[in-house]
Amino acid sequence: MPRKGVDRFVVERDREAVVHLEPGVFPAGRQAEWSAQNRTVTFAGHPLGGGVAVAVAGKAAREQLGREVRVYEPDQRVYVWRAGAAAAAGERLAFVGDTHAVFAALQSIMEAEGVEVGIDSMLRMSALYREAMLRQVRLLQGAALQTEFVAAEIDTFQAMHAVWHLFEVVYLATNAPGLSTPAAPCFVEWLNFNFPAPPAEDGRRLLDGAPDADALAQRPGLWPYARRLALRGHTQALASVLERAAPAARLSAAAARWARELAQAGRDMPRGSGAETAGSFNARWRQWNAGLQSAAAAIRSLAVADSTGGDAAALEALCAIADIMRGDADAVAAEAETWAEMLGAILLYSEPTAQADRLPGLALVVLEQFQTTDFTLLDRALVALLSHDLPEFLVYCGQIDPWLPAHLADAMDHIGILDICRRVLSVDPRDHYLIALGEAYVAHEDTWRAGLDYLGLCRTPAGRSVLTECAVRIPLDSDRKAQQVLRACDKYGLGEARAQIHRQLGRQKWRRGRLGAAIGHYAQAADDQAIGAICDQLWAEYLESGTLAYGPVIDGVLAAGPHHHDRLRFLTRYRDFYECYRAGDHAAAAQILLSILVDETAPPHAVADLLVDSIPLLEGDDIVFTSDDTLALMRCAESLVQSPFPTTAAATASHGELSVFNVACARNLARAFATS
Amino acid sequence: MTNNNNSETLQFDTQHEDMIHDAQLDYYGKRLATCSSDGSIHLFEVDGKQQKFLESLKGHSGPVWQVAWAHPKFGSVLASCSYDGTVLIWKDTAGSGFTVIHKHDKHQASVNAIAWAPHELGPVLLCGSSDCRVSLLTFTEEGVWDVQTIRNAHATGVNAVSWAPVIAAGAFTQPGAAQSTGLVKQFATGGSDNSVKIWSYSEDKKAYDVAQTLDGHSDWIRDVAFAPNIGLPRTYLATCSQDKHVYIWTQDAPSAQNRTPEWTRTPLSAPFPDVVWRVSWSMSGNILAVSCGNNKITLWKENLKGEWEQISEIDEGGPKA
Repeated sequence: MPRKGVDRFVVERDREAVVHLEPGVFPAGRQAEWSAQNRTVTFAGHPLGGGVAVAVAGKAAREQLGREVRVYEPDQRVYVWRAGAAAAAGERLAFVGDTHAVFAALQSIMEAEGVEVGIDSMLRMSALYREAMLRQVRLLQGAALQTEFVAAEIDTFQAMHAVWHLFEVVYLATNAPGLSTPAAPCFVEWLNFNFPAPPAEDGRRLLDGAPDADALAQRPGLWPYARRLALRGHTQALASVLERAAPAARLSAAAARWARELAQAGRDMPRGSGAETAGSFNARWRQWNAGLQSAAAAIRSLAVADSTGGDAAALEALCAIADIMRGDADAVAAEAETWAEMLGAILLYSEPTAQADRLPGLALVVLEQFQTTDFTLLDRALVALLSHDLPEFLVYCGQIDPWLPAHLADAMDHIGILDICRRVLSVDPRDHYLIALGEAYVAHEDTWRAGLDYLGLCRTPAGRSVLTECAVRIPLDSDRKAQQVLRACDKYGLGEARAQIHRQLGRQKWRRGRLGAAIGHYAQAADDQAIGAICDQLWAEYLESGTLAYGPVIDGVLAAGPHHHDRLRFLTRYRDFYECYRAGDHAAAAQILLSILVDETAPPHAVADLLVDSIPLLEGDDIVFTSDDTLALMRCAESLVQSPFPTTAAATASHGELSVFNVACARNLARAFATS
Repeated sequence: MTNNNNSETLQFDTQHEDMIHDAQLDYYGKRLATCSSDGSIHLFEVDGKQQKFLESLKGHSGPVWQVAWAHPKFGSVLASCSYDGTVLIWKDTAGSGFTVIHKHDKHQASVNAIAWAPHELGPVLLCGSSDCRVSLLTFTEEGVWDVQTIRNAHATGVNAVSWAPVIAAGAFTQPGAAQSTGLVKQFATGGSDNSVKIWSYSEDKKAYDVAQTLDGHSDWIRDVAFAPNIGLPRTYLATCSQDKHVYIWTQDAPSAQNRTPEWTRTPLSAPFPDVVWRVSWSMSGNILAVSCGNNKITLWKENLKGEWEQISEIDEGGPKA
């Protein structure tokens, strides 16, 4: 009989390798014709995630071809396709959130406990990961619409759980330093949890439809079901079934007796406990096994003697059950449908005290009896794990789902076994997979924060580099989102990204006319040039309108915190001058104006206008500029005129205005001298 | 669209009147620019499940081959190159939309490829033309566009250009190396002479010189693409050609023992079934997309063992097998 691998979950990579666009870029089946008509496809990668924009493209222009080219309707079509959406699709949001929380907690524990996390902590975290996977399976199974996608997701999550659970069995529950837990109970529990058999409904159907032993014994499924129970180690259930069938009239007294004997053997199967020594357990086990050996021999004799009798099927099944339970490799192999079943039965009945380090050898023996070419991806991942071939294990896991190797590699790192992979792989596996997962999450509007965390918790420069690139590309759709991105930058010390985002926000606000907010963002980015440009815009608007309207903008900026920028200081001081002048306090206004000019607070392009502003004060009834003040004003005017780098602003003050200024200065100087 | 992983696909007509030649998403993936044989550029806002036509830019008098978005720190700037031998720089200004802020018309034949330099090098646009020349268009601090031209870059025309990452390979792993070595000023060109050339900036000459010529392709080079540097200890360059091959060229980080390591050539796979038109790296430089004349796009990734494996394929319609 051909043997198959664990085929309950078909997680074949080919299913994910091809993405079909429908309707296609080209009409189906006309690819060659299109190609001959000067067409190919062009594309552009999406900056976040693995998406692309795809379009039909001309290879050459008509002008180059020198002939007419047919026009097709799809020539105009563009597809914007986002890959990896499944990794963060709506159906997975809860799973992403739950497991991200566990992942983040694990990193915190690691920081608190040192380089390696204790096995107990890791086991707790592992249980949380597994619970999240199971919850996701239940969620998907309860979905109102059972589509092909949902079915594939269920398969994927069940496969992920099977892999993670076995990892827990091999590396956490049984293989931790200082533990000497036998592998068999854990492995059989793993097997029966992830690949339950025989199906519970088979048992219900068999037992519920048979009110008494005779009816049960007549059921054709009874003995195959009993054999499967034995193979899977369901010895208590086996005992119940055998005890119910034993009184059947169609069974001979001998067959009934052996059914009861095997039922009792099932109930008496030795189970190890922490309180019992290995020697004591082995002694009990040998005695139990010897009893089964005797039973098997006796039943076989009966079966040979009664090969054509009414008991033949029952005796054959009882013999097989006894052989399986005594650990006969041939009997186990005959009954087992998968390598995992066979390995489970061998561990349970032949190697009950074997520890995890025996698993690679035992797995090798078992696998020799199976056609590994038929194995599914899940099989290959599980076998690689049992063989402690961790690099291969991670590669297969990566083909099942990107979530799996990212979290497994992280867990392996925490318990100190990832260095095995680092020695043979060309890149750091933990970061390799965390980056892949982080990128997939970052591309999704609901999971981008988790994505940044996965990238931020990488330890190699590659992770940080990708984190920076991703952070600055997250669309800043709202102020709230922008603040969240900035907080992430702070969390991971992304100074340059933070500045870049502030510059981007500054540009956004500037475009929308929110100049105060724009200055605030540019100040955060220490972009003095942009702040200067906005201040110049405010100054230009004032000059054009003649109304000083930038006051609230400046007040808003200053209220948000101290800003030390020459242009801002200039605008603030000028506003003070303006208000004093309007209030009639010409003396104060004059002193402010003078200080703006003398301290060189004013930008060169504004000097001429300030000098013109001084004319009414110079010509006023009251003398508000002393002779020294007036001379200082005149020096400013002289510097402006004699500057080797004439500014455009200097040119804005007309010759006439400067002449008036000069005359006003001369008059004021005379008055000031006379007064003094 | 049908696929089993619930990917999102948005499809729409670009309203061009002739064949499209290029489509490019902006820095954030929010705007798409397409260009066409009809001489126009169309801009769309794309947001997951919907798109909005923004405007049509008309300025070229021939087919537009490529468009390239500048880094947003330079504003909302788009460059386009055309069969008419010109390169146009467009800028989005509030109120008036995209307008041409510069026209580069120093080439004497079709300009086939353009690429903005990494933003750290400033607003510099690299252009490759059928007139065998490469030009560098730089917006200077004085507010003018300066042009440097490399004559006879490729004997029979330049088809593709790509800038190298400014951070040197290996710089991330050597503390302070990024600062001490300065920014890498290097680009690659591919031509109709079947060769790929690496050009490096000479501080002495204040110009770009050929640093290396990579031979291996047996027909016209169709595209060249440097991978972004994500901290790996080597530089990656992908090239594709009319000869149906895609090569990944790698160069180890320079060391004290070897200041100019050799480039190593690795075929991406067996020859492709048709001419390979375009190669493009993902933003993080770990996925390579390849567009082949058989009208399929394949995505490739270097696995943990350093082997290149195909991770996905995008092809024409039809239900999934």
